Amino acid sequence: MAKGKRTVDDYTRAELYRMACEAKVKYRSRMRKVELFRALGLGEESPPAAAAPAAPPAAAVPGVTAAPAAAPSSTAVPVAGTEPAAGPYLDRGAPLPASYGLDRIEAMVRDPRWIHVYWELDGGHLDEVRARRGGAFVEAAAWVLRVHTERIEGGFYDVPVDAGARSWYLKVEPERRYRVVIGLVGPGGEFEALAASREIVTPREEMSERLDEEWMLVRADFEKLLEFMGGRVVSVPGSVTGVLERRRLELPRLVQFLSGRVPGSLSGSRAIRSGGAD
Amino acid sequence: MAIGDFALVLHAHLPYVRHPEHADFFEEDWFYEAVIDTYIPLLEAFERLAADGVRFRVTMSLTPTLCEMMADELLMSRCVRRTDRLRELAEREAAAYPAGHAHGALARHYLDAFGRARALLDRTGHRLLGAFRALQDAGHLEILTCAATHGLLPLMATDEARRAQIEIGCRNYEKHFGRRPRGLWLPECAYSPGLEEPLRTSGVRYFFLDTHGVLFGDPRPKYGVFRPVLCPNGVAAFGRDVESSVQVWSSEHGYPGDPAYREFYRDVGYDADYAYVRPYLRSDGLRGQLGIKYHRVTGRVPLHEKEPYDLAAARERAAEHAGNFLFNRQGQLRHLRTLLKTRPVVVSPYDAELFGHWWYEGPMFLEFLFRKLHHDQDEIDSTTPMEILDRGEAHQVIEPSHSSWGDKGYMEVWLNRANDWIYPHLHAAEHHMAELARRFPRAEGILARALNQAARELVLAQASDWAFIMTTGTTVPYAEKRTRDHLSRFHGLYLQLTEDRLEEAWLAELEGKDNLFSEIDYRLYA
Repeated sequence: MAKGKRTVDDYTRAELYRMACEAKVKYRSRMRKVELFRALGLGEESPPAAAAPAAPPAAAVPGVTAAPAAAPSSTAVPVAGTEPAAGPYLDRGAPLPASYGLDRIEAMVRDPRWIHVYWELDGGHLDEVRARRGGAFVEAAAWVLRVHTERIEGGFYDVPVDAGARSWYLKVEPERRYRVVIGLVGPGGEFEALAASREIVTPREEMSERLDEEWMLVRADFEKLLEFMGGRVVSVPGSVTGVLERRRLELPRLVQFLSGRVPGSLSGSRAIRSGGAD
Repeated sequence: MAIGDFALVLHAHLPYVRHPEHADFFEEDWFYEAVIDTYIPLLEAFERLAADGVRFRVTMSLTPTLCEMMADELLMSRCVRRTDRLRELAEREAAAYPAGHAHGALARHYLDAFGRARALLDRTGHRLLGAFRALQDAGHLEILTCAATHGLLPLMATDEARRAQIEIGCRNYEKHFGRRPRGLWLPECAYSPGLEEPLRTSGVRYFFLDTHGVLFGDPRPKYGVFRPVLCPNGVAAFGRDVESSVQVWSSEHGYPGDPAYREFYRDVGYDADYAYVRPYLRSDGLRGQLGIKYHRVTGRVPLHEKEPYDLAAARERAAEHAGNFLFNRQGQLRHLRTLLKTRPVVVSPYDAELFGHWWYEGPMFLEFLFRKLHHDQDEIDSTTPMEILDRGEAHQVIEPSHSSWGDKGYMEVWLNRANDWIYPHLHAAEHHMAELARRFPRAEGILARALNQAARELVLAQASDWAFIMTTGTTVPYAEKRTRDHLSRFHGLYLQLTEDRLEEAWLAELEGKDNLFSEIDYRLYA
């Protein structure tokens, strides 16, 4: 920050908002203080439309708003680094915050063999680590996703990542629990966790080996029954016959078959009309 | 005595697309096309069956966004206008061909069809939902609800957001159909363990899974997908039958690809002289589908080699296919009956828009099928999942498997490099919405309006359609715009609410634009 230049802390939000009104900054009423600061072009470190690694949407082409809908054009708030770059002449929507000021990592199941994680480290944990261990530690340390899972010796393994990527796909195994922690591994092997995901379970990709049966009655007055019993209804044991096993259903093949078909709404079905000239 | 049951399930869904700011809008056409091509022909077929005393049962989801569009005056008046324009065009077409010309007879068929569509709209006071409701009240239809905006529940971060999507859907159903729903169509059949719990608390008795959602359940389901299963909390799940799906869905073996059927991609909107059709196209003047088509599939030939469509021959083929479908179900159910030693059910779910819009003869096929089921045999009962559950039998308890009916069977369609950027924003909005609901437990007046609008913007952003379109690459800028705009509106409301600086004019603007779910209650997120 150049000497003598006022920083965001030198203003109140009201001041910035007033300036934004004068400058007719779009979406000003929805901006946080720092966003107003940037939108007004006061942030030297993060000038408007250049703070995020990726180009902002539509508004990257100033004044071009050829799309039919009402088109927002000023880009005060940069978009997340992982968003696809916008093409010209198309309104791809209002800008979104680059960050929500959080330390978080979220893990999501894509399929039995892949999970997706994304993270954001803007909540202060990294600064805290830097203050506690020194900047040199952070510089020297390696960024990893520490993947905790069962049936692994030691209970976890590390996947090196580029922290700037902000998201990652991880190859995993079906039917396992996973919890992913993003953090820094120091030169001596010490680990500094910055954010941890929820635990997720990957799906099964074949039939269950368990053939035990439990049977439950459904009665006409089911709703009343549920009310009385809090969701627990009478179970009656049945017999094991393994009918399906005898049929030798080949399920992976079945899933493969299903993969030829794309579901969805009318809008989506356009791509996959059944039959016809395609 | 019937040996088994056949449950036809039609999933009718469109994302909420309403743009009062434009006289016409490309994506709004999805709705008008679906109404004219699918929903009205289905209603007509169902009403004819009912009038003829045919016993038939159809389970049909009408998603909350679709219901809100069908109940929207602006959209329905535009739909009526479009019907009138098409009728006018059909009239000109009919007059243009000499007597005896095949196109002329077809044009008169379209003129008649558009006229009947207009009559049905008039008869229902432009309220198609009333016609669906009447069929449900008479016992022919079992209407399902869906998550509020068809949000993909397994990819949401919070239980609050899942619960709210489900309960908003149920309350919207109550508004339109006068009672709570018994069944719910999980958007994209996407299930992850635990989803049955918010379903139970909303009073939902059953939902649907793709085949492997049941077959990969634990323990292994004794009867596969041919009997309902119960989740441990008592909510029932029905699995999709593969065989009957292939017969209709598959582009290789499916009925809709028959050479006699109408060709979708040849349309007067593309074929006719430009100056002649220009008044019927959208204001941007681009050629597009108008629904008047004169050619048949013919075979694997280029579009210009398609042969003339013969309606009578196509109808005959639809009847044959209905007979073939029934024959196959009889064989299938007999086999299953012997194998399972219990009464099997075949559950066949399809996108409703396949019938009529993509497969023009689809509604005829269904009508023939139900007539044959009623008159020509007594082995198979046409039934609904609810009727099966009402028999009071015991069902196997399993934990269903994480699954969807999307490409490859899991979540990849909605979670890949084309669309994964949406989730950090959607999830932040979920957390912010829950925070708002806890912070303002008893809001009133403008505060409550802003909180309810925030909930609307969140659910609109969550529609699975946007992520789906980003994957298929059809109208990506629109899907991205909708995602960003709703999220941005949500975020603006969140900041205004937390910083105590609500702008009523802006709020009113949003209420006008994103005007669905008048009954929404933000407290659902608490």
